[in-house]
Amino acid sequence: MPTSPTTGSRRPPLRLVVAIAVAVLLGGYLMYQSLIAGSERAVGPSALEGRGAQVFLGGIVVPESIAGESQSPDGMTFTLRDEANQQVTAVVRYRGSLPAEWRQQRVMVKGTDAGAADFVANPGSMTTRCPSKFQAAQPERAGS
Amino acid sequence: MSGAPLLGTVALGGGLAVALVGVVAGLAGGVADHRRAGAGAGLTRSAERAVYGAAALVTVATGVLWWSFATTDYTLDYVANHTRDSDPFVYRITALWSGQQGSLLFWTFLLSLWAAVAVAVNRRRAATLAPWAAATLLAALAFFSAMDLVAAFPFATTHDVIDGAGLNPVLQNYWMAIHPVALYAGFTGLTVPFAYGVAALCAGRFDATWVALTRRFTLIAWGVLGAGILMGARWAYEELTFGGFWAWDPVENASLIPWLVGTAFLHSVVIQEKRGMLKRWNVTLVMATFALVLLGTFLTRSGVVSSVHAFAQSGVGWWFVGAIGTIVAGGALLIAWRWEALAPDRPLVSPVSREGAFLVNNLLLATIAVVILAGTVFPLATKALSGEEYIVGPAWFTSKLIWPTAALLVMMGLAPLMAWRRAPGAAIARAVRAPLVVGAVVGGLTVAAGARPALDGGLVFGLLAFVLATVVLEFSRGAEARRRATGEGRLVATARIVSRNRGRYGGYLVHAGIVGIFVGIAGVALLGSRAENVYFHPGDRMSIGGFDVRYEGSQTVRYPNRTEQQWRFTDGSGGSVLAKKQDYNVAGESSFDVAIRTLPTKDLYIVPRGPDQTGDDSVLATVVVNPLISFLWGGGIVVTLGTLLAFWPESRRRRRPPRPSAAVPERRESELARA
Repeated sequence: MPTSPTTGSRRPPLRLVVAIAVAVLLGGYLMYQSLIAGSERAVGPSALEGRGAQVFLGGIVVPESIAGESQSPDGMTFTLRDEANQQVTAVVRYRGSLPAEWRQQRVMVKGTDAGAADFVANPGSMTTRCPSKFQAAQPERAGS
Repeated sequence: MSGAPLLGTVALGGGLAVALVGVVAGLAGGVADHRRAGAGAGLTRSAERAVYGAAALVTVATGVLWWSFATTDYTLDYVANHTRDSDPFVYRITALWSGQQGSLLFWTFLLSLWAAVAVAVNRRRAATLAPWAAATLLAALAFFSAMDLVAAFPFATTHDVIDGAGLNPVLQNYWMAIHPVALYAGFTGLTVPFAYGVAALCAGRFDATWVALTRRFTLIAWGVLGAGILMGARWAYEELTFGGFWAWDPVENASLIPWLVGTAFLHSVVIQEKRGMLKRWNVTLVMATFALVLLGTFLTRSGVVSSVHAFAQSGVGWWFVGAIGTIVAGGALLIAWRWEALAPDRPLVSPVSREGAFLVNNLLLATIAVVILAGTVFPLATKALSGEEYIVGPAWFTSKLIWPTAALLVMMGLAPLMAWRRAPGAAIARAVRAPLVVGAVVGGLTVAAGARPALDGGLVFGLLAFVLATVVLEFSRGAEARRRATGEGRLVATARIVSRNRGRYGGYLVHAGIVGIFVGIAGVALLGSRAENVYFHPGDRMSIGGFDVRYEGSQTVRYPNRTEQQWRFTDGSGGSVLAKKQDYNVAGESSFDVAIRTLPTKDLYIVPRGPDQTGDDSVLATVVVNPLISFLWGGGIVVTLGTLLAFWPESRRRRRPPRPSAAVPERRESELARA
């Protein structure tokens, strides 16, 4: 005869094991659905498709590509380089506040995927990644 | 040619070799003891000496790297890439842990110190656990040493370097000296309870011995880890200019998750010590805590998740995957093997009891940890399964965690008021009456003060007031009982009960600190004000959150390694703050410093967004008022003080003998003979 699970002196009854397993599976499914509903796609420039979807675009800023003023009516443009495939870039149009040190870092903007040539970022959506391990320069070597 | 690379490599390799030998000795000693009590004493002693030896060698290796930084020995590639001659000395020292290789070596160093102290403190207290615990600690040490040597070698050499690349200016901050140290100390310290939990399972000791032996280690590691997490939040608040202190970044989450599970473990072991229950929970929680520490480190260092702190992509990822898999699989097998023997000593008489409350506490903390873990690894999972990465933002975490956190706070208030075995409803109702009144009054005042949304504010602050009132009630009841028994004054009686029950009252103090932290969080979320991207010309004013902010103008100041543009603001109450932009002499490096004016009940927080482009000395800034945020930082200090109080041992004269029901049993004669 199965004993109460609180004593634990015998193996837990099969019904309890099945009930816990079902609860775990159901909880996992609910969690997954919640995550899917609350998530958004994150891509690099190489994954832009030009279908007009709202995505998070992440990449490394190309400092010399920055043009315009972020707070002006026309905003600014800059180029993001793909982290995995550095040959691929995307041009971003952005208006809004700029985080500190954004020029030297990976940034992420949310916006409309209109293709790599013209990604229109939502105003004020830029976030940066703190450069904890960022190396700003190379060591100075003899003869350089 | 510097001898540092050779010396460091030999020391690190020697530490690995000694650790491996010690693992074998420990395992052999444990098996010998199992066959005949005391037969493995010699091998156990060898394993213990191996712990000391490995710790000494890893310390030498770490010292070599530190000396190389101190003397700017650029023959080491790691030194050349993380410091330069002009970096202040303190940042040459902190540069040790500013990169992958050095921080892993530092981790190994701290782990070796914990292992040596744990073995030294516990070697005469439970001889049957000693060989297994030493073997487990040495296995962890061997793993990290091997990873240092193979995948993240800190003693690689370079040549012809005149001056180094330097430490990133953003990391040249006093938090760099303490935040990573606290985190690493906390993470590595949690290896000790893990090792003794494994030892208990291997040795077949299912009482509370391993819990009692590691209680202080767990407490200090947990406390230091929590302090490190709060330091990171403060650093983000001061440096990262997004106006907040927590962004649900994957690496932030990776430190919080093991802390949450460790919190569940810290509470749950109380039940095993006092009632001989929740043994299966405790071994599971301690294994899970250590596995989550490794998972967090994996997420931080492998580069699989783009994150605030992410190291560059490196070869250490698979090492951690292997270790985590081994812990999870091995731990599950051990627990399954010992499942019957881990049965509780007595049944749960009633779920409405202190034991039941602790069980609910375990479930809530585990739920919160699982939710955070799911949101954190979701991008990895989606990328692995579908090739596309999906991320969840801060709003998802906040929305999913509000109710479990509220339930946890309710339990934090209720559990101390509940009796062991069975807590009658009438007794609970009597005990919560006064705290409920306090909570209702505070909730009403919060609504009247203009919290937005009003109902949320009333409920949150009312709940926090309820919890704090239960803490005050516990102190008051204990002091009153002693006062009646001894005739002492109230203050003396309070001091005496705290002194004689440091674990209990230290825990209550920690609860009070947690309330303070949530008061700060709720104040910012529900009472704060924010004005984005305001153009200030000299003399411009704005009223926000009770401050009368006025921009006075700017000045440029030159330092040896940088030029600062400083914008001065006054707050209408006689205080002034400087927001800054720092342009470092090394080309392309600059940073913004926020201006923070701290008052007891609110902060004025000004984020410069950029100097004016028109040349009239104006500045673009975001102005934020963060009410009650001082309670967050103050609450963290109270948590630390409470942890120290709980940790502080009572004098030998006052120590009561342990209760026979679930505490450490009498040692066998063979153990006494060896002691």
